This record gives sequence, C-alpha cells and structure tokens, in this order.
Amino acid sequence: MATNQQLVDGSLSLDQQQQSLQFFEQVSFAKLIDYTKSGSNSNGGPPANQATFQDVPFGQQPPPIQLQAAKDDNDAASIMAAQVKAGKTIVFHATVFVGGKETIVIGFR
Amino acid sequence: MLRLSSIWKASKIVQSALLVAALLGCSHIERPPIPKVIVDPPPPDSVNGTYTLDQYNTDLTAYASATGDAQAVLRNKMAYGVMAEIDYVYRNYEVSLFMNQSTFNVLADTLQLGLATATTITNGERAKTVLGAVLTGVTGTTLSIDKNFFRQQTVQALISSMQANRDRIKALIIQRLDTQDTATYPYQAVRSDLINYFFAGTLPAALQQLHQVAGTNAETQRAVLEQVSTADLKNSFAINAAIAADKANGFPKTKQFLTLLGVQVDPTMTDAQIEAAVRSLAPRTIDPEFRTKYFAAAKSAGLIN
Repeated sequence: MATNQQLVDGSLSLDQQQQSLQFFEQVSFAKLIDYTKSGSNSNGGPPANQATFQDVPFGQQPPPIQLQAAKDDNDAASIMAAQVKAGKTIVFHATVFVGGKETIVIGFR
Repeated sequence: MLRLSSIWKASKIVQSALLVAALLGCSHIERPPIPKVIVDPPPPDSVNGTYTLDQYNTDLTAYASATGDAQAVLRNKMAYGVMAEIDYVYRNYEVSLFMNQSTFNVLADTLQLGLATATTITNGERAKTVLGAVLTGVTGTTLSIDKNFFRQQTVQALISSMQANRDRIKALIIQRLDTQDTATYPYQAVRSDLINYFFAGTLPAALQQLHQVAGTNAETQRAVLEQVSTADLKNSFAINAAIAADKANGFPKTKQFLTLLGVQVDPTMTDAQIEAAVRSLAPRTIDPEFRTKYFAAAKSAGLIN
C-alpha cells in the first residue's frame, strides 16, 4: 500500500500530537508507521516531526496510534515490554520533538 | 527473571552481531536466501522468468513493426519486465542501506553520496542487463545536499520516502498501461516513466522529496495540529467507519460526499478510484476552513449525524 508523509508541529504536547496523528490516520484511511524528527526547522521555523503513514484497505482500519514518552532508554524498554505484554504492537521508538524539546517517544497500537 | 535493562543490552549486542556478520559478507543474515526461481540473474544455464536483455531487444524490435493489440501486448510485456528488474535491484539496495546504516552515516559528509552509492550498488552489476539498456544515456542529477539535514534523516525515513516516490509512479504507469493504447502511451513514454521509477528509488530523490515536504506547508500543518479538537477527532472516526460501511452498497453516500466537496464523480468510477478520491481529501483537511466543509458535507451526505 502507498505511503505518504506529513509534518507535525513539534511544539505541541504529546496528547495534542497523538490527537492530530489519530485524526490524520482516520481521514486518510491510513496507519502511522514511523515518526521521526524532521530537519524542517533548519530555516529557523518551529521544531517539527515527520509522520509516515501507510494506506490501509477501507474497512480494515487498525486501532488508533497511541504515544507515550519515556525518561530514558531503560524507561523506554520498560514501557515497550509492558505494552507488548498487554497485547499491543510497537509501531516506533524514537526521539522526537514534544513541547519543543527532544523526547523519547514510543508509539504503539 | 531477566532485568529489562539486560534485555535491552542483549538486543543491542544482537544488532551489533548482525551488522558485523553483514559486513563480513554473510548476506543471508538480513534476508533469507533468494529462491532460485526468482533470483536475478538466474543460476547458470537456467531460465527462471527473469526478463533478459536479449528478450527485451527481441520484444523492442517486434514492437516497432506491430500494430493494435499486439503492439500493446508487447508494450506491456516490456513495461512489466523492466519494472520487475527495477523492483529487484531496489529491494537489494534497500536491504543494503538498512544493514549498513553506520557506513551510511559516515558517508554523510560526502556530497553526491546518494547517487554514487545507488550507482555502485545497482548499476555496477547491471550494465549488460535490460535495466542497463533502459538506462543507457541517462545520467543522474547532482543534488546539493545540506549535510546537516542529511545527517538528521534516518535510513528508515529515507526508505519510506523512496517507497512513497516509487509507489506513486508505479501506480501511474500501471494505470496508463491499463487504460491507454499505444497511440497515447507508446513504449517511448513508458520508458521515460520507467526511468523516473528507477530514480525514484535513489537517495537524491528521497532527499529531494523530504526537502520539499519539510520546506512547505509547515504553517498549515501547525494550524492543523492546534485545531484538531476532540470533536473533530470524533467526527473523523465516524466518517471513516461510515465510508467503509458505505463501500458494501457501492459508495452511494460517499459519492454524494465527494460531489459536495467539488470532486468530480463519474458513474463509471471503480471502487479503487472512489477510495483514491477520498484519500486525496486528507491533506486538504489541514485547512480549518476546508475541514469545516468536510464535516458539513459528510453530514449532508448522511455519513454522520
């Protein structure tokens, strides 16, 4: 299935970014497959993250993406282990901008 | 019970071991052995369906003198044969990029990295193949690379960008092959599109797209993120579910929804075309004004209350 990319404002809070990503998943009939820092702020603009979405067949929309921040790598490992134990799938684990600051974030559904 | 930090450290050790194995030439670590029925080139003295240069030249010669349906058959055969070759080299290239990320980062200081790397990995072995023949006379473009931007791009983001480029062009080629005859879409035009398809899977193309995405729409995207309310999110879920359900009946409400939003709906449109039209609205919902119209149209069409 086709993929497309969308910039997300990295100055937003984690909850706000989650809400926006979920919105875009629904209107584009796609699922988030990757989330990384974007270099778009090299021109002095606000920090941004780049979301990569992959189309999903109509009627097969997976559960919405959820985001959780981690304090460090150990905390991230702990979070991921807990989510996997709860039956979730880890979508990404990356350092992205949250509230304008670099933050370790795990995405799962 | 193992401590999670130990598990994390162990995974890092495994990743390092995989990289070492790959660098030592253990090519079956990052992927299983390629079955002989699809390996390209085929094993010596074997035929496995690989589209060879000889076959291509034979078909190209026949194409020149063919007419009508016969010519279209040859055009499509050459198109899909070359496309398969491009897909094969791209997948190998993708694996190579992924497994050599550390080398990739070191080379980030070199301009024209992407094209040089792509040429080394793909064209070096392809000079005498159909891919080499198709690309003869085509030179890659030089891209001025912002080293800082380049460093920040993960291999995964670049691979996603290349795949997005490729998917877009491939869909266009297939659509044209399916709907246009050789008068309107001759093999010469197909070849041009195939060349674009090949270069869409290179690092300069990936970087160029990422530059374009990063450099535009930042204002509107920021606006979207500030204005995606809980109500908007709830509506998006409802519309997604309603349109998915509408598909079973032939998309009657969805067609009305699209028409209300100014999308031309043809009675002969296939489900795939309807779905593509729906997806095409997504980037426009970035604009708050359009989003209001989007929800209003969904309500008028009976998709939501």
